[in-house]
Amino acid sequence: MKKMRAYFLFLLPFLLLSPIPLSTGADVTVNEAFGPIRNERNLSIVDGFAALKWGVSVEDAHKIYPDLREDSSKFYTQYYKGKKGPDGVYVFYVRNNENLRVGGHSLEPIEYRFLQGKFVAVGMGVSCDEDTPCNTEAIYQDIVKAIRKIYGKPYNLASRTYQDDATVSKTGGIEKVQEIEWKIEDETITVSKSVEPKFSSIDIFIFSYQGYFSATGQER
Amino acid sequence: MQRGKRGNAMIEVMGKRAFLNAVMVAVLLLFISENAGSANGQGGLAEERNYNLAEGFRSLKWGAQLADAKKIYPDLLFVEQIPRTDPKYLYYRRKNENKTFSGLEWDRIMYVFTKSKDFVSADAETRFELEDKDKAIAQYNDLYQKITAKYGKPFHAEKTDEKGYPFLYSGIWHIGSESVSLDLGSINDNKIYKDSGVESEISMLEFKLGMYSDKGEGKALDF
Repeated sequence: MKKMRAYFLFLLPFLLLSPIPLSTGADVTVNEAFGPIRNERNLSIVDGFAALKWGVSVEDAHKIYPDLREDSSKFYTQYYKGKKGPDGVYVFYVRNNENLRVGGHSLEPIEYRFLQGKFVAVGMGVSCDEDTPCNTEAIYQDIVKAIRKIYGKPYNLASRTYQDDATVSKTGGIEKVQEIEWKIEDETITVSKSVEPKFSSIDIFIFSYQGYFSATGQER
Repeated sequence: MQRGKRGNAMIEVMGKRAFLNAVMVAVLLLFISENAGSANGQGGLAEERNYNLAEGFRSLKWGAQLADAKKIYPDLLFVEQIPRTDPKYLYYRRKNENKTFSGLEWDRIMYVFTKSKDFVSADAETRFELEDKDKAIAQYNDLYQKITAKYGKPFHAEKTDEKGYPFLYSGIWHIGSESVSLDLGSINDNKIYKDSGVESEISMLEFKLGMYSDKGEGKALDF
């Protein structure tokens, strides 16, 4: 038994140093943020999200996820649909019956965002209001803790407190936003929490410059 | 019979030991081969030229054209251009970078090229959360001493604090046509928007080491 323990202790550093792929899971239930899920449909964050590689075309994405359909949410329809930004047009897609849990909390829907027809970003979140009350701070901390566990120290921490007259008259009080961002190679993960008197939300936004350069045709 | 049992037990023990040895050797071989693979992926870390400051950074000579740099480092990737419109500098990183430099582990190492795509500067950067202030200061002081020991007193140095945190710790050394800069500063990204204006507070600390050459700008050729 002692020898077994000695062998194990000898091997432990090598096992710990061996690269373990970190994956994202969108079509499987995960209890920790972004894996590690040993599932062939889950790519590492530096390669893609779930089974979609950064920069993949809408057509190829449909072959992988036939249930991918254009988002019909108010947010997308109001702010993005058909609007041309400086880099082109964004189209958001969602899937049926996805179940992604980060830090023990369900985040839905997952928006697969395509720029100029190429996969560049993912958005997901939780919203709370008087009809659907929740502890925004606790959820935010759980999510941040889960992502820290995988990606460690963040690249940026930021907060915004809006206490100007325009915000107060619009929201009925002060609006507080907290943000934390990680940079992993060409990808960034941003978790933001916004709290107003009657509404609060937590959003996770994953953006890939790899996908962006592919969408904008910029040579690297 | 007794001996036979003991003999079988010994064979069993020896078998177990041989099995464990085989597992250990297999894991070691796997570990070694994976690391050898990653070293090759880095464009051959073992073959890194490591030019001195007067010549270049790692395997790239100051003034090297981007196309030639990509032959040396095929994993060189464009990151950003500064300023975004009408850029003066183009920032690149290596996909398989060895982020240890000067005895420190950096978050990022960037290769900077001019608009005309000449290699002009290398930047190493690490960010610290405010609770790691003491570690950040210790790393700054340690590297400051090392650079001073090698290149003498800096051309300019200053240490300014704000609310108990380093606001700007900076040192710059000019060595011939090359310069070395060391900075530890605050990032003010906590903002309060009021009708009277915007107030900002420190959110993180940024530690940067920069190595710059006039050769990349073509200036060193002007006499």
